[in-house]
Amino acid sequence: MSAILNSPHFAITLTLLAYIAGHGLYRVTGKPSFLQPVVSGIAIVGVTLLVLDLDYGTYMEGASIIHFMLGTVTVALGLPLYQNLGLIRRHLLPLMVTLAVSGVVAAGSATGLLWLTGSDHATLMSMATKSITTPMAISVTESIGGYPPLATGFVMVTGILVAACGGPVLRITGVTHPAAKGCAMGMIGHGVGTTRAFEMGSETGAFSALSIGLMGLYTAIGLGVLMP
Amino acid sequence: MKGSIVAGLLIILLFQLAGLALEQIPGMPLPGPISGMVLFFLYLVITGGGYDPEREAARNLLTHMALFYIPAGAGIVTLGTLLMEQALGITLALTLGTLIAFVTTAHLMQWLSR
Repeated sequence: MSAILNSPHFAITLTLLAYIAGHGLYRVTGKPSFLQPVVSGIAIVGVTLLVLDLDYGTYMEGASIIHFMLGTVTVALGLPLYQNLGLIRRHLLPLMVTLAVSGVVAAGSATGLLWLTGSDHATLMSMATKSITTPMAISVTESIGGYPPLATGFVMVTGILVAACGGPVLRITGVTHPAAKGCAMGMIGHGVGTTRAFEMGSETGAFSALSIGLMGLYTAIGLGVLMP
Repeated sequence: MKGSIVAGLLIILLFQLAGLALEQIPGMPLPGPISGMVLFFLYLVITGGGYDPEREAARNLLTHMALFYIPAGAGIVTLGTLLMEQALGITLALTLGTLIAFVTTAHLMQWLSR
C-alpha cells in the first residue's frame, strides 16, 4: 500500500483530482473569492498528506512534472502582456509612475511590518512577492531565498483580501476612475483581484489584467537586483 | 490539429529553455521562467502576435494555471510551526500592508489620470 501512496502515480492523480474537485466546489458554491479553486485544491492535497501521514517531499517529487509546468505557464504569461500592449502604450506615463511606486509600497509595507515584529530572512523573502501572480512569485521567491509554499499562501490571502474588500475600500476612499480601480485591483490583488475587477466593469478589468504582468515583472527585476 | 498543439507547446518550452540559459549569466537578476516570458513577449511583438499553435498552447496553459501551483502550495503543511510563531507579523503584513499598498495605488493612478 505504501508503495502505491508514495508513487508518482498517486501524487499526480491526487493533484489532478484536487484541482477538479476545487473547481467543482467553486462552481456549486456560487464562486466566492475565498474558495478559489487553488485554495481548496491545495487544502485537499494538504489534508490528504496529513491524514495518510505521507511525506511532503515524496509527494512533491512525484508531482514534480506538474511543478515543472509552472515555468511553462510563466512563459505563457507573455501572451496577455502582449494583448494589453495597446492599452499600456496609451496610458504609459501614469501606468509607469503608479507601477514604480506601487511595487515599492506593496513589497516594502508588507516586509516592513513583518520585519518590525521580528521575522527571519526566508519568511521576509516569501512575503516580498505577495502582490504578484503565483507562478512568478514562486520562481522569484525561490531565487531570493524564500519558501515557495509560504509565498503561495501569502499571494492567495492577499488576492482574496483584495477581491473581497477592494470594492468597499475604493468606494469609501472615493476612487471612481476605472483605470485607478483596475490598477489597484491588479497590481495588489493579481489574478484573484482581476476576476473581481472584471465584475466592476470591462475597462476596470482590462487595467487590472495588464497590471498583473507589469507588477510581476517589475517586482521580479527589483527583488532580483536588490537581493542577488 | 493535434500536431499543432504539440508545436505550440514546443515553442513555449524553447522560450523557457532560453530563459534558463539566460539565468546562467552571472548577475542576471531574473529567474529563468520570467526571462522566458519576456523573450516570448518580445517574439510576439516582433512577429505581430505570433501564430495559432503557440497562442493556443499559451491560452490552454493559462486556463489551467491554478493546477500547476498546487504541488508548491501544498508544502504549507510543513510550515505550521513557522506560521504559529509569526502569526502576528504575518497577519499585520497581509492586512495592513495590503491596505496601504491598495489605497496608495488607487489614489496615485486616479490623480495621474485626471
